[in-house]
Formats: sequence, structure tokens, C-alpha cells
Amino acid sequence: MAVDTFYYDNKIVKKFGIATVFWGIIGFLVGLTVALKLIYPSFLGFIPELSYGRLRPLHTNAVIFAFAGNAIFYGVYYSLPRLCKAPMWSNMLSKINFWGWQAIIVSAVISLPMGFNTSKEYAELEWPIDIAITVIWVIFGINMLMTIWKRREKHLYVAIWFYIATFVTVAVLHLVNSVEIPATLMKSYPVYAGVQDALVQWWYGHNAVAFFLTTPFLGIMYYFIPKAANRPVFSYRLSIVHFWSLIFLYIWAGPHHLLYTALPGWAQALGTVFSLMLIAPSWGGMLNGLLTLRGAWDKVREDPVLKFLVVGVTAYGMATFEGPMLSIGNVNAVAHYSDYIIGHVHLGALLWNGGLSFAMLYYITPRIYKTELYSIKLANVHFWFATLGAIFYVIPMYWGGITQSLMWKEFTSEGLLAYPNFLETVQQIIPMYALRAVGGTLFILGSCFAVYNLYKTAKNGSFVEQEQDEAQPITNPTGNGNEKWHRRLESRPVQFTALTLVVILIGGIVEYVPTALVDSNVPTISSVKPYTPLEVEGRDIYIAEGCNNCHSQMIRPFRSETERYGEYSKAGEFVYDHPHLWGSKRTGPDLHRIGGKYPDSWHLRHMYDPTSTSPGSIMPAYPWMLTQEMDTESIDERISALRAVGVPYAPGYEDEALADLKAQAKEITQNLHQSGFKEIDGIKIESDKQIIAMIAYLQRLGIDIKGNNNPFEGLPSSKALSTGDMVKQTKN
Amino acid sequence: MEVYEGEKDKLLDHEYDGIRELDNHMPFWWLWLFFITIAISVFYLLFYQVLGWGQTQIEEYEQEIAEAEAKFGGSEEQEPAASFTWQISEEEADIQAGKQMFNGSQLCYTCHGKEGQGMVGPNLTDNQWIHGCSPKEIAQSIIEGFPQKGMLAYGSGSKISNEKVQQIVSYMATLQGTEPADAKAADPNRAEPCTEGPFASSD
Repeated sequence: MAVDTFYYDNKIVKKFGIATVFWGIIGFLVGLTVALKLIYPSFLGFIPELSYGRLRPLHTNAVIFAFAGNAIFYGVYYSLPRLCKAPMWSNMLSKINFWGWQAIIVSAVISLPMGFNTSKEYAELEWPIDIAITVIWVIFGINMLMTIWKRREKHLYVAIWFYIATFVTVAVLHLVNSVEIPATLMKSYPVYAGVQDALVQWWYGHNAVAFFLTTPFLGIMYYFIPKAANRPVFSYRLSIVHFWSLIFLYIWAGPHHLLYTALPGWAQALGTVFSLMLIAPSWGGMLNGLLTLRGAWDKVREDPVLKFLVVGVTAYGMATFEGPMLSIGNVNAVAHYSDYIIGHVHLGALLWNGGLSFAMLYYITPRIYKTELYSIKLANVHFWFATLGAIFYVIPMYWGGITQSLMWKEFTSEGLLAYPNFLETVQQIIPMYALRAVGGTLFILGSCFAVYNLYKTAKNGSFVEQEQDEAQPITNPTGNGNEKWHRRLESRPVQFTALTLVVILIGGIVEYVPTALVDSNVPTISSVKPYTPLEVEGRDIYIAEGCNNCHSQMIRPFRSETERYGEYSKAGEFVYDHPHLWGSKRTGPDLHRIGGKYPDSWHLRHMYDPTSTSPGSIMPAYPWMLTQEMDTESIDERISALRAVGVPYAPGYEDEALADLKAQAKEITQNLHQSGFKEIDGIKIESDKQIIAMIAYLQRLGIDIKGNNNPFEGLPSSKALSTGDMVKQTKN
Repeated sequence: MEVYEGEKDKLLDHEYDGIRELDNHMPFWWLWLFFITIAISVFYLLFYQVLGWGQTQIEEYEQEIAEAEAKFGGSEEQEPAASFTWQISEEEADIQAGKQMFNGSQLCYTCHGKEGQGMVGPNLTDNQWIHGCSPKEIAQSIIEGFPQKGMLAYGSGSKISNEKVQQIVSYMATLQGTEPADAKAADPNRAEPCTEGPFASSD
């Protein structure tokens, strides 16, 4: 029997390893920066590009797509060719994958601080970058699937199943969530509005966790645990059952991010039960990992690779128990919108994704450099810094989150809110924010030890660019003898991929299609009208500044919320919201009914310096909104794009939009002048500045439901809206 | 791969880059965990969605509101501030209650300072007043606020009874002439000296 000799490309592995560490440290540092900004709002000053709302998406994107993303490629490009006994199909595609992905990250690092932001969590990048992500992801997929096609190992190992599911599902998620109509080169509006947009967004957002932070790392776990422990995988059957159940069930769980919102009850219920059913499939992975270590625990005491793997898998088990618990209505009612969720995701991100990534780095680096790890002791120190750092991060967030949430809900014995001022509940947990920053710092210090250790390891060794291996080609590709069905499937990558696609499509289709098509799911409210051009501009500024990172626009039907904020939010109020801005976290109060609550001058002073109206506020100041001009040039293109996604602006209105915008801005400015605000600290209040649009938008929020508001009344345009009952008929 | 004696019969014949797999049973407790969560899920969907036995979130909310109304009464209108007889109480209990609201739930302190010395808002301890200094005028200032200037009705706190506003005003009366540290100077263009009533005796 002929034996083929071939070479694995270690250069691409090395590149992805360096990128993982590099972007990891950057992502962590941006995280520490935003954490410090919650304790010292004036940290780094009030500079637009460095404000909290713009840096927070940069942190999440950097950690998910730059750190974990490069770690995924690192793991796949190392393990996949070895499991297939074939080099990667195309070194050219590998390189395009690498450099393309880094270019996408750099474009995020530039565009997010500049305020190019779609507001959709973990999908904040604007449409040209979305297209680039699609191209690079497909190139990765082709390279992976072709490598599998050319393999010398007849059956696909479980790690590869998870890699395939990752590729297929992330492609579907990204494509569906990013359907948007461009207005300008760096501004687009999603075709989905309000409830539908929220559902699609959290179907995507939740499954970004599932198929970007879970399934690829499970694949990585299935390769590196048995290799590092030198023990056989505990149960092949468990692999099969937990793989298929995990990918089938996970895709349904997204609506658990929207419990007690305006999402229809049946969709919420599906989110709850599918999350609950996920406990066992998730734990299946943890069990298969930990039970593989039976009889090898003495090695765990010594080997930092195994230590990181074990703490990672354990954190995964804890986080995937916590997730379903948080999906139960009355638990969610307390935990949602609070810092508890931030703690929950960091348990997974720091220890599961972080732990597995560092385990890989400590495993692969000595091997591709043909040497020993420079210092096992230093790696162990890193392990403790990482673990303690995560504990110091997660526990204060749990504590602070629950404390604050209970304060939001507390009533006095007379039936009044015990803490009517939201700010009091924020100040209560600032010490917890400080502890969290300590935890994050420990974690970063540990990572710096890793950089040093890995650098010294590489220095001491000699890099093996091409690693030789040999294997027999597959001799009997079709004959399967009396193999069981799944065993046969494992030798048929095309069928396997197709079946994966079918399995992951079911949940999304069942949840989305009725929400979009059945009218009763979003009852119409006739008094709800589209935004005026000035309000559109204000909303776009709200999005660019990332206000939704700290403020929700979704009042849940709880007495503690309707007392504090006003009437609970209805699905029909969001039909013109492309995108929805419901938010996921309340670092500040909900804003859905902020319209009309304060005078324009209050917003002016508050945006210029939040502490002038709310002493002790940790909201960043936005002084630049008083000096930067709003974007009036592209308002026609934006009105046209919004009409294209379904907002009923009259044909031709885009040409009149600018005049309407200016007229409304003039009126607001005049009112400000009349109430004594011609200037603040020598800065003139002028009608072409961003602050005027911001005020217009904030004053519009949540008021339509109260009656016959006609936002276009008094504006110069002849006809703003095309639908019959929305025409300006009150203008007599 | 290290394989122990008792595992050899469970070892599957294939190998991937040296990785072997055992054919162990799935742990029974794990399988049961899976079955139980499926059963609970089916029950949950039947209970809340199919049979409609459980409350919807709106029904839950309406019940919560009804219970609160039964316990605390509806939001009935209180006597208008204009016709209420505003007095200064010298009862220690009233003054302490007023102080607690001033420095707590009603948030007066966030703008006027813990000693009433004035911060963003004016000094409340001197003899200079912008919107009148009779107990009635002060009470009305609290109740209506000056939203254009940043002070909301009831000092950004929740709506409270006239009796409670009176307790705050009574506490404010005790602050007159206390000359706290860092007292804010009055705005000569707007403030006027207080000449009559319980707030006139300071200086």
C-alpha cells in the first residue's frame, strides 16, 4: 500500500497565533478602558472617538471577532489538516483568509470609533465591511471543506463536525442579520423594523455566542483535550447525541433575550423552553471533555495546557447552566438589563474562550518551534492570574447586577418607588465596577505573562515551517460495510454539511416567518408615525454615539417599570424603527418615554454636561454635539433608503426633507434661545448643530401612543407621508 | 494514547491524528436530565401557550397593578397646593422626616447640597429667594419645579403628599441662617431678600 508524504503549513498557524495574542491584548485593554470610564467618566476626556458608546462595541467586536475569531482559525488551521491527514487545500486561500480577516478587524478599529455603527449588537460594522466579512468567511469555508474533501482519513472526527456547523451557521446568521439597504457609503438601514428586527438581531446575537464562541471551541476542545491528556475521548455516542441536539436546539434560543418585551408571547415561550432543553446538550460537551481526563488528573496538576482546558470546560459548564436559568421568566425579570448579564458573558469569554485559546497557544507554540515551553512556572502564574481575574470580574458583576436590579424594583411601604432617582442605583454599585476593573487588570497582566513566555519559547526553538507527515490515501471511499448510519454519514462530508444546514435552519424559520407575516403579532397603532428628517438625523446620531449600549428603549410590563418610566412598550410603536433600539443593558435609565418629560433646555444642559442636571452621573459628556454640524447633505439619501425598507415617506419627499429638517431645527433653536439658552460656556446654540437633532429625536420618543401627534405639522413640505390616513390633514 | 485495562473492550477501532474514542454509554443521569428538560418544556408550552392556563405577561401586569391599587389606593387627586394651608411644623419628627426626604428620596440635596448650601441649585440657607419665601410659595416651587432650569416637579423625586412637602419646607426653615461651609452666593439679578414670614427671620 502506497503511503503519501505531505506537509502541514505551520506558517499560517503561527500567523493566527500571533494575531490571537495581539488582538486579545488590544481587546482586553479596550475593555479595561470602558470599565474605567464607568468609574471615572472623564477618563481620557470627552473626545468623540474615545467615548464609551463608541469604544464598547469596539471592545465586544475585538474580543469576539479579533481575539476569539483568530483563535478559531488558529485551532482549525492546526487541527483540521492533522485530523484529515491532508494539508490545507490552498495556501493562497489560507493567506487571503488571514490577511482579509485582519483587514476587517483594522476597518472595525477605525470605523467604530469614528461612529460608523449599525447599533446591532455584535454586528455593528457597516455594510461594506459586512460584505468583506461574507467574502472572507466563504473563503475560509471553501478552504476548510476542500481540505475535508481531499482528506486521507475516511471518517470525520467530532471536532470537524463542530467546525462544519460553525462555518455553515455563522454564514447563515451573518447573511440574514445583515440584510440592509445602504443610504451612503457608510450608512445603511436594516430591512427589518422593530419587533422583527429585534428577533432577527437576537437570533443572530445569541447564535453568535452559540456558533462563534461555542461550537468552534467545542471542536477545539475535542482535539486538544485528548491530545494534551493522551487519553481517548470518553464517549463517541455522547459526541453524536450532544452534537446534533446542541446545534438543533441552540438556534431556537434567541428570543430569551427578549423576555417581557413586545415580542409575541409564543416566541418568548419558545426562547425559554429551548434554552432549558439546552442544558443537557451543552453539558454533554463538558462531560465528554472532563470524563476524557479520567485517570489523567495527575497530569492536570502539572500541565498548564490541561489546567486552562479544565477551567475552560468547567466555566463553559457553569455558563451553560446559568444561561437556561436566566431564560426563565422570573429570573430574567431580575437579571435582564443588569450587570449580571455582563458577568455571565465574561465567565464564558474570559475562561472558556480565553482559557481554551491560551491552552492552544501553550500547546501549539512549543510544537511548531520544536522545543519545550520556556517556563511552565510562568504559565501556571498566568493560569492563576486569569482564573482569579475572572472571579474578581464575575462576582462583583453578579453582586452589583442583582443589587441594582432589586433597587429598581423596590417599593416603599406606601407603594412608591424606593429609589425614584435612577442615579442612586448606579452610585450604589460603583464600588463593584471598581472591583471588576481590578479583575480585568489581573486577567490582562496574566495575558502579558503569556506573551513573554510564548515569545521566549519561540526564541529558544527553531520554527518548523513545513511539518512532514504521511498517511495512506482512502482506499475504499464508498464501501461502508455494515457501518451504522452515523458512521456512514461521517464519511460523507457533503451530506453531513447539508444535514447540518437543514438542522440549523428549522428553528429560525419557525420563529421568524410567522413574526414577519402574521399581522396579529405586531398590532398596528394608527397614531404611530414615521420620524421627521430632523428626528431621523437625531436617531442616526444616537446610533453613531452608541447610546443603546447603556440605554434601553423597551419598558417591560412591570409595575416598577411603568411607575418609573410610564406605559409599557407596545409592538406597534416600533414599526418605523429601522433598526430597533431596544438595547440590552441599563447602565442609564430606559428612554422609550423620555419624549416630553424634560424641557429641551434640560437635554441641552444634560448632553453638554450630565452632572449639571444630574450630579454624580457617570454618563459621558457630549460637548461636541454643540459644536459639530449635523449631516444635512445625505438626508435625502437616507429618506430614500428608509422608504426602500418600508417607511411610508411620500414619493419625492426626499427633496423636501432638508427644508423640513431646517424648519424644525430652527423652531427648537428659537425656543432654546427664548428660554435663556443662547449659549453655554461661550458656545453659541445654533440650529445646524447635532444637539438640535438629538433633542428633536429624544423629545419624539414614545409620545405617539399618547394621542394624535402629528410630527410633520407646521413643516414646509407639502406632503411627507404617502399612506392615506397619515397625510397632514390637520393643517387647516 | 494511554488506555486502561478495563477500557480496552470499549475502544473503537478508528484513530484520528492519534486520538482514539471509547464507546462508553452516555451517563444515565445526563440522559434523564435531557428527558426531564424536554418534558418540562412540553408542559410549559402546553400550560402557557396551547391551553392558555398560565397568565400572559400582560395579565400578570394587570394583576400586579390591581393588587397595588387594592393595597395603596388608586392615584386619587390630592388637595391643590393653592388651597392647602401651609404651615411650618416645629415637631422634631416632621423636621427629621423632611430632612430624610431632602437628603434622600426627593433628591433636593443633589442640587442644593446636603446642608442646603447650594450647588447647581441656589443656596437655601441665606435670606435671598428667587421664587418667593412664604411656606406656600416654597411648597409650590417644590411641587411644580422649574423644569426649564433643570429642577423637575417634586425635586426629581416621586410625587408626594402635601403633608410631606410641608415636612420638607419645615426642615428647610431650620436651615435658615445656618451659614454652612461653601455656601453659594445668591444671584443678585434674580434673588430678593425675604422680608416677611417664617423665612424672614434669618440673617
